[in-house]
Amino acid sequence: MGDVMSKLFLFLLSALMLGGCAHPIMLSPDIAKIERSPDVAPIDKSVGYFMISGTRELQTTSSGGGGDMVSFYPYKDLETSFYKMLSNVFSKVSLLKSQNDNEAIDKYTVRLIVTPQISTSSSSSSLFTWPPTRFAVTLTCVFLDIHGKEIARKVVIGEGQAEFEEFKSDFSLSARRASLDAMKKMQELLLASQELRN
Amino acid sequence: MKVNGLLISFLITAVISGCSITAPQYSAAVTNAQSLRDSDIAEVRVGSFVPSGSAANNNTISLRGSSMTSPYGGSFSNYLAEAIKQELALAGKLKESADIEVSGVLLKNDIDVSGLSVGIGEIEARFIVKKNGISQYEAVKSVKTRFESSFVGAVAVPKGQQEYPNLVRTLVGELFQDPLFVKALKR
Repeated sequence: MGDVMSKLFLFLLSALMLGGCAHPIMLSPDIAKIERSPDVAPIDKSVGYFMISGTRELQTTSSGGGGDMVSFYPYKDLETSFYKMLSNVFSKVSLLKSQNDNEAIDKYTVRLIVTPQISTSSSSSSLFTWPPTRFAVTLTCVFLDIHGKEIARKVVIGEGQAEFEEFKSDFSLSARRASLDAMKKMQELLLASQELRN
Repeated sequence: MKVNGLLISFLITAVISGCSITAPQYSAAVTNAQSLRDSDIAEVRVGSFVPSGSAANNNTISLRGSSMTSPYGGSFSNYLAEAIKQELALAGKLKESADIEVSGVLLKNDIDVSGLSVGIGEIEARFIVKKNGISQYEAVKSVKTRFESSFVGAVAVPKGQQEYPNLVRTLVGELFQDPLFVKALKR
């Protein structure tokens, strides 16, 4: 009986210590690093952005190191950097409650509506530490006119890497680097887009 | 095999949770920025934020044996100053030479992840607005947040670490919703 109890205790302890833990990380990059070159003019348009209902609360789980998983909220974590990136690209950016937020569309004279789509992947080369050493953020911007017609769709992939010596005080480092890379690439792509300037 | 697994687990726990960690950098809230932009406030500069008393935990916050430090000069009162700066900058209202200044005193500052399933964040600060050196506003704001935590340290410590910017954002949001504060920032 004692042997059975010991095995049960060991099993429960192992399950608690080893199994099923998704370690939380954050994707938010340092927005001070998302700047526009003074040589490039912003697009002179008022845009409104919205997050599809429920996406801010969407929790994603993906691979970390040592067989462990990491979890995060991609839309919530990236919203401020997304707003900052758009503010660098367009002359005015406003938050809309939804695609049909006509009150805000009128108030801010919105001409373009944009919504982000985000997907991620992660992995680690480490067997002994859980933070991911490689992270990728695929960011898609879908642009609509105020009648809901899609007028442009832009996609970038941001990549980030971090090794143990770097991430030991910031477990989210590879993810935050990937997010920053995605925002910078998207900013460059949007500023170069002639169809958004027309 | 199980003993090896446990040894590896303890090693991982020791490596990840026994060291010094840094609080995530602050990330301003879009709703705050839009609210400030729309409220027609003047441009503002951010003055000094200093700690007062041991409850301010200005240098480190203890999270189950890990020491969390601030990414802004190792000072959590600097963290609060940086938060206000970022909010004003995102709203386009930050200007170094402005004649209206926001400063503050950090009074309480803690993240408690000792609970088995719930963590608690608590922060309190006095905020002061001066225009050309003359006081326009002074008030103490205090907030408490609760967040999901865990028995497992390797989950609870990062959860507590990630809660810090949310705690500060909640405090700053409370300040920005005070109509007297907003009035003091107008010309």
